[in-house]
Amino acid sequence: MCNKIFLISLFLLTSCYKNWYKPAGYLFTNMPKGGTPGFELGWIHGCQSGLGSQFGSAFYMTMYTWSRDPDITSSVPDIEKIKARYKKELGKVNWNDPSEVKKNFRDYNTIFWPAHAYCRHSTLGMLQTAGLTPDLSSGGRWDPAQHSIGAVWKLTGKGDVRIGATGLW
Amino acid sequence: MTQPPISNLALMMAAKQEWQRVQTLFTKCFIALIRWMDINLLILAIINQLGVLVGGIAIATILENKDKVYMAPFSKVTIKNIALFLLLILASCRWFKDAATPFLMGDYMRLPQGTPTFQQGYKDGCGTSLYTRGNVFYRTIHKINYNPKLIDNPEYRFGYSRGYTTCFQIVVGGASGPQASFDAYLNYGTTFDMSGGGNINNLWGGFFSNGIMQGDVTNSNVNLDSVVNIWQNAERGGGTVFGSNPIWAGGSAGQFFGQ
Repeated sequence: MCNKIFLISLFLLTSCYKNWYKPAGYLFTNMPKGGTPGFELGWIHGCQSGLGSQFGSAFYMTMYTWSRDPDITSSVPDIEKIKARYKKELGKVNWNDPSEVKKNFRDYNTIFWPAHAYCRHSTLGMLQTAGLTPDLSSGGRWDPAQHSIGAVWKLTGKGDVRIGATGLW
Repeated sequence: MTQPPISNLALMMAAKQEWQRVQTLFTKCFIALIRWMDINLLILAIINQLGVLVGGIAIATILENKDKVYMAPFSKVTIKNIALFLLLILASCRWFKDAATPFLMGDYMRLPQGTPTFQQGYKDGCGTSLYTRGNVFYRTIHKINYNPKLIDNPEYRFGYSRGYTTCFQIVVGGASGPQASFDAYLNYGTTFDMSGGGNINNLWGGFFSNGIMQGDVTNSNVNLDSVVNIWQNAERGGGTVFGSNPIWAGGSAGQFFGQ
């Protein structure tokens, strides 16, 4: 029995991705492939920051927060500090090549805001589709007392595209 | 060594095969065209082409039979002028070339002119924003696109930014129905008729009276005034930060800052 549980757990865990246990964690699987390590780190940080912004709910803001690295953003980055901080994420960077380091940092800073916009808008779009319409930036967009988690599968929220509904059809 | 003579049958078989190959190629091209073109504009383009064809046949028929039919009101010069006039009108029709701008089937977005890199960035940015703020339909047919290989290309980045912004506005307005988010601040539904009749409260169709300069974020009348109202009455009718609205005094004379 233990073996079966272990195997099932193993299978489940092998399908994990970064932030899989957090709300809208699937967005991290949408990261464009083929970028530099700096690109990927910037994308993850941008997405985390976007999800932790006011576009989500307090639930999202609890799980995510502003993640932009001030050292990589700095005009005079402390290489050693960054290198030590992101041993795994930036492990493939050739730190002896200044142009490659520069390129990775540039990619980080360039992709940060597109990823931020993508994730925050995806979250808000999903919440609105589910009928959770925010009024104030600080207002609760997901209220456990009023809304069900299953609302994310609702079709009657904002942008209802069913025939005969108020959508485009 | 002499080559054996080619029989007529072999020639015919070769010609038939070649014709089949052309047919297959044509079919493939047509299917590709249908897939990548906006189907609505394709239909419009076909109608236009048919219109040109029918018009051309009609003009040719009139010119050929002008001696047989009653053409008294139309002199030769008049017919030529009409033909020239029709030609000029038809020349402005939407042709296949314009209609076939391949972009996103089923959408109203057109790919702007520019370099291929710019257009690629535009498409990627547009698709991304359609995914993010679109509805279930848009999220099904679009996904995030960003080419990491082109991240250093300013044309690509510019195109991405423009595409994202342009399509964002379209999808938020078109697929969302009534505005229900903080985007409502941007939804200026008032008609700016400039007919105040001496009273600022009636100006621009009640712009300052019951338009976007009035209302409260806590009720359904969400508008521009709600922004400053937060400062005045806190978030939900709580304590007052300012004694009155810090920008808008609200009097019929239209005082700003209480003046």
